[in-house]
Amino acid sequence: GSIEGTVTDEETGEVVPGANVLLVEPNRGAATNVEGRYAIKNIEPGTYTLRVTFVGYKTHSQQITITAGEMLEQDVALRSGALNLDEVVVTALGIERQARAVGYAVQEVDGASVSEAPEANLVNALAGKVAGVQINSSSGQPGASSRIIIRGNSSLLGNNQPLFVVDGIPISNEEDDNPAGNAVFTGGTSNRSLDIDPSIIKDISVLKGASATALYGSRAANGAVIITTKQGTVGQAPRIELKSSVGWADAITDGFQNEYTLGIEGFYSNGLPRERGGYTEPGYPGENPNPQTTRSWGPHKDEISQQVISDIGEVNIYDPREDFYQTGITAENALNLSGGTERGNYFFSASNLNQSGIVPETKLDRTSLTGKFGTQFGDDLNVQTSVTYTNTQNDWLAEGNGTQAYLFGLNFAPINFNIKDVQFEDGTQRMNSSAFNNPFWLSENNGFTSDVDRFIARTELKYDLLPWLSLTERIGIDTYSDKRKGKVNVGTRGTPNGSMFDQKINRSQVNSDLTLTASQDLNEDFSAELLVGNNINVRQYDYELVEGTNLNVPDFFHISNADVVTADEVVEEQRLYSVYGQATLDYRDYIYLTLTGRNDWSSTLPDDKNSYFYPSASLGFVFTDALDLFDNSFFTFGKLRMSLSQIGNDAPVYSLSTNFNQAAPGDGVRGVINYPFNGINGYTLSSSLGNPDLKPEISTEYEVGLDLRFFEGRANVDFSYYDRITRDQIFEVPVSSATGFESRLLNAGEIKNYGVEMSLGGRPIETNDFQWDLQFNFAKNTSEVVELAPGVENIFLGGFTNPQIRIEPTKGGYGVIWGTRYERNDEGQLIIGDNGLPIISGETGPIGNVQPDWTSNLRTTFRYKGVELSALFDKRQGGDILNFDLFYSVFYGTAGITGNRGSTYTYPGVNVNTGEPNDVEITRDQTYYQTHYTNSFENLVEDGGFIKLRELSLAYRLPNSLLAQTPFKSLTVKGIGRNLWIDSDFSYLDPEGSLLGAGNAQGFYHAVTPSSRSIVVSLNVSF
Amino acid sequence: CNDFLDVNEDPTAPNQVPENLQLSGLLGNFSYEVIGNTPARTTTQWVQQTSYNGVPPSADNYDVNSSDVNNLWNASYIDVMNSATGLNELATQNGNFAYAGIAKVILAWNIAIITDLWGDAPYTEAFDPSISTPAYDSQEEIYSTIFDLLNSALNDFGQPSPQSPGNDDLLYGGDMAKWEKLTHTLIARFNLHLTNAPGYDATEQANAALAALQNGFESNADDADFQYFDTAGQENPWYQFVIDGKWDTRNQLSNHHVSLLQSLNDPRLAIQARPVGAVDGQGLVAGFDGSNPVYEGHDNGEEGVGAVNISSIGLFYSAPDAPLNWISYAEAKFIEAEATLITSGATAAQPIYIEGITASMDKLGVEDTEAAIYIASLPLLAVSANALEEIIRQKYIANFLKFEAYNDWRRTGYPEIEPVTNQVQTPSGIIPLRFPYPDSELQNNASNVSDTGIPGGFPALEVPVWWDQN
Repeated sequence: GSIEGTVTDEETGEVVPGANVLLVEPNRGAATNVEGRYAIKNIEPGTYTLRVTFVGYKTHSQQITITAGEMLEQDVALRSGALNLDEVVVTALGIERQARAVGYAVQEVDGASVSEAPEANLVNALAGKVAGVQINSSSGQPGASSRIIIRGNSSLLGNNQPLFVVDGIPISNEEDDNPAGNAVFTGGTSNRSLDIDPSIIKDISVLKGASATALYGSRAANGAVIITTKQGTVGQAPRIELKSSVGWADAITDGFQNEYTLGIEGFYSNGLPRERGGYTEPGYPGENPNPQTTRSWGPHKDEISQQVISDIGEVNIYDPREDFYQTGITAENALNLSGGTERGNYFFSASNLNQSGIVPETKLDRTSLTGKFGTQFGDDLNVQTSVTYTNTQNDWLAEGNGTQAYLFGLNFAPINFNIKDVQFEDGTQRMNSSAFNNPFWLSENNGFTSDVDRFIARTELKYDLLPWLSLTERIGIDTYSDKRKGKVNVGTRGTPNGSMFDQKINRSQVNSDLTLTASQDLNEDFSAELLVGNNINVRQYDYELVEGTNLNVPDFFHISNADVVTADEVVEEQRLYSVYGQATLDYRDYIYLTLTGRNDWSSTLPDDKNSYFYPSASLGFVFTDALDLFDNSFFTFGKLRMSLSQIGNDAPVYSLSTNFNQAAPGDGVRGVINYPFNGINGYTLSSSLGNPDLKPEISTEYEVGLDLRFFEGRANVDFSYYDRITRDQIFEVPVSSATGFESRLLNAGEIKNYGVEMSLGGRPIETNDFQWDLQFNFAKNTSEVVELAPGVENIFLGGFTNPQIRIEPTKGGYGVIWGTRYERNDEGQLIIGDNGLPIISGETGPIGNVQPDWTSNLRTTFRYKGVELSALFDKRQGGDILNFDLFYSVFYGTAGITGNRGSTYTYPGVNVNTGEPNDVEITRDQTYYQTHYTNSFENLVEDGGFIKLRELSLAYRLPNSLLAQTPFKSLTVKGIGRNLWIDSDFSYLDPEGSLLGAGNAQGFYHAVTPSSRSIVVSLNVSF
Repeated sequence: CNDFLDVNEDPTAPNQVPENLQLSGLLGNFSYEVIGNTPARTTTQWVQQTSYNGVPPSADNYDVNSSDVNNLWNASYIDVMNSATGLNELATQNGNFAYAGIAKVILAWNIAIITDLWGDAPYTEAFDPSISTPAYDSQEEIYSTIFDLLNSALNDFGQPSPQSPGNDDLLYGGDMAKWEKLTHTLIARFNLHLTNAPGYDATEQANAALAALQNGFESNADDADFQYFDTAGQENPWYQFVIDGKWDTRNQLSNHHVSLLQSLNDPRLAIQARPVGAVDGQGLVAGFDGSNPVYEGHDNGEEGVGAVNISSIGLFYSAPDAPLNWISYAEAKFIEAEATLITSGATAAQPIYIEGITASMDKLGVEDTEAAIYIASLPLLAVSANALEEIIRQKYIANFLKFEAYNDWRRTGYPEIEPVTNQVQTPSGIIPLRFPYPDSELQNNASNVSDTGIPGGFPALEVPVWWDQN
């Protein structure tokens, strides 16, 4: 007899081409065609299991009976399912494998959950969705960078972020620094995964460990984010998807006192220059006092003296943050068209995202176009080609330490000064201090712009040499130019004559993989797959920069307008050549052994040490299939994973020799001399000593895991334990500068990261109309800095000399906050002086650690007919933050805690002389906050732990019955709220932010734009 | 595939650079990062020529810790002394002795500044990439090295040099005779530093200084003046530090200094200080009355009173295009006066002392008649209660904003200065006698630092250096 039928999507009713249909017992299968039809002929009569599988759907199984000579018509409706037992995952090099065969941790993220998260930056959209992936957004400005870390920091000073791969092509996620100065003084920039349009993403596979990424080699040593984009399928009818959304975001502005006015010691000042109506209350301290001050230590707004009111009238009270921040608006529109012919497939996408920030004059505008085509030539050759063009324009303002960051003028602004009144009548800037810039003035006059044109193109040729042997060549390029401009207008305090820069950054990466794949059933029990390949990777980076200072014509930012012009050029190129192989052995579909090996030759290593080999082995053992014990139990599926792997890594470019650089005398912080000096050039030997003897660094990781599924897949548990050691790291080891160098490049140091990751999923309730899904992730990572280099006690990561973020092996390892602190005795008690104040130590020490203790998140989704309600809670336990804003805002009296001024406090601790418990009460007044509190930096360290409702969404999908009257195949209306609720002890409420961008120095919160709460409404239509 | 991989040469940074381009970089680094930087910025507060008119605590309250001194140490060893060592080697190898000599002078001068601030310091084992934790030499050994280097430089200057400096010599424009005079003057200065050093004889040191000065500076025209320019990124370091707003315009005149000059009726006051109200470059604050200039200093260590109420550093020193004086003919004269006082007494020193004052006044552009009136008002050294104090006081005024004033104060105790009252750090409240070792050494060369026996943290500030036994 025979069987035929149509496979459809249960929800949409559309046909599903390409689904696998299998009669299990005789092991005979077929795939559905363009119309979703399948047919299997010449079947012996009997009763069989019919199993239909397709990516993204739950496996459908049913018993059928074939009668001799008869054709059975059997249609199958597939239900989309997150809990698919036979799902396929994308692994290294884009190889799709059955999840059951994989011997290491892989976690998939559905494309929809990324594209619908109201985040322009793909990295932010991943937050809270994968176990063991930590995401930290650096700032609330449009386009701000975000850091992503998988399984902790394993490199001392190198890049710790994963490799990003789109359709098999590695792409740049670099954060190109701001040329206008150290991030401490100007703030961070964007990371370039910002250019990826989430609306074309089908799914994302997060490869966490070294075994998963061993075939990618060094650049995926910290994991990989494998993005697969949407495409059409052969024979698919044209399908158009339209998405349109608009969102509103409001800044979170907690953390300030709104009670006390400008002034000192309780006396009132109005902040204006004396000759422009400046006023200080009689009795104001000092001779001829200057009403222009940064100190909000004046009277309470309700206790302003009659004298002041009779002198200058009623005092108006403002909220500077409320006045400054605006509602950010994001509009996003995307059009996708996909389909296929008999021998080809196609996909087009056009999208635009337009975001105006919560900071006036900031914006992000991203336009993206994608075309993908595939054709089958004859029986043997398949060609897939895709091109994506993206234009990303970004306007943002300087952040960081200095009065040219708008947050200085804003966070330290008094409540009795109207910052909206930006200028005096003669056009000069109006602010309460002659040192600070009015934030509105900065947003109107200064800022940075970036204009990125980016192409990602790819061609993949697959040629089937024999039924069991195929050859694939995949070549791709990712290239972009970033035109940047920096503007500091004439009249900016700190740079009264103005300055500007123009920078053009180019990055490109060409990547080619040629692979030969053989797969063969060896006998009844064994089948094997062998892959060998080579990889060529060329990365180029260059920029040209012109900087001009002393502008002649205000508000005109062309280089011809500058008195002094300096220029710079950077060129970098590195190349990698590799061969690799992977052998997979499958025994009876329940033992899977995978072996890989890769040898790299890198241009950045010395000629005689530029070749290095690294292997991996992983085992997947489906014990529920191997052992009879589990038959017919609630225990549907159980797999044990084990893997052991190494990954090699090469050196930074140009690090073997010590070169000369143009002289640039500086005083270490702000002052600088430019060469050529008076027309005479000069050179100085680099302060970093190159090393011609570097060898590759090797990290070793083992991982064990369990993948358990219950009740036919309605509940699942995935558990991993990993342990990674990275030895002989190539890094700049700081040395005594008496050597003549600040650092030398060495193979040294050892970091160990170990931890657990756990995912729990389940569908506790499932009826025809109602479903409740739960997904819970948990991860705990411990970093141990086992050793640094000989003689090196610690390593600076970022910040100031004091305080700073550093690596300190004896004090918690990576990300120790180090700075001035209080004296303590052996029991850890404060040593208190006779005046009741703790004594500040003369030596700096550890005052916190930025690494969280653990992270977890929970997504819960309810579906009732077409309505879906979903919530994503995200929790970070521990992880300190150095809130350096407090250093200023406490001193200036704008910080929330200074609202308790005048209250008394008795420090717990012991008296320095008597050793008795301290009982001297102090008054928390201006003097206390200015001369004591801010001088011990441990007072600036806050708990960065939080729990937040990261996403809350409500969607309604029109039922098919209603849609039948319309041209639409589907129509969904959705509302999403982001960050609607946060609970933390951080003074600004949301601890996500880091002045130093996406780099290794996290936890340094200072003068960065706060995050916001947002609401997005979207409409998705397909027809 | 080796050709394919052969792309690891940085196309933007040369491997080798000729002497002239190294020299111009070296001099610019030394001037901006050392002479015009922390040694002068910090110690002129301690000897109360300048004061921090902001919120305490600052260096003005002796709050100088191991991180505050990092930049100077690193700049000295890396940008200056390692560069000078490399230039010396290259120039010696190429037989370009003029360059080798200059490199040695800078090396000697910078290690002298290091040892005068910290005492023991790495030198013998320094600048050798194979030694990552260089041992510390004693200060006495370093002084011996300084003299060796300077004498060796004189030897170099006596040799033919196929290539010799021109406009790459940013200090003297290639005038090697001036370099020679400078070298002799430095030998005199460093010999005088050791008048109270244990095991050294003041008379011998004075004689050595006098012998060196025979060939030292002969007039203000020989002064080591490093010229800056009124162009962004080329301005005088004092301008960048205290005037243009990059740093803090509240680093202003000390009340001690202003009062001293006022008590002497010294015409240099109006040159060393700006009138109250003239805070920054362009900037005269509103209501500034130029016809009736008032000069006020700030009380060291005290709470700030507002920049507009205190005199800023005078334009002569802090204009964008003001030269930075490294060492002057006037100082040579005061060295000679002090040495003569030691060897031959006050009367013999008197005319030399007057020459020193005259040279200083000339340099600052004081009218001859005004200078004459001023000089006439001063007591003769022979009749003054303390001739050394008179000489050092005048040297102190002439050496305004110079690190050398701090060396003289530690060596002689003059001028007499009261410690600030609200000092926060030195345990017994004295004016600091040295810098604490920097963080970079505590972190990367810890055991050698601990071998010096100098305590960590603020107690270090009270330990005198070896030659400071007064």
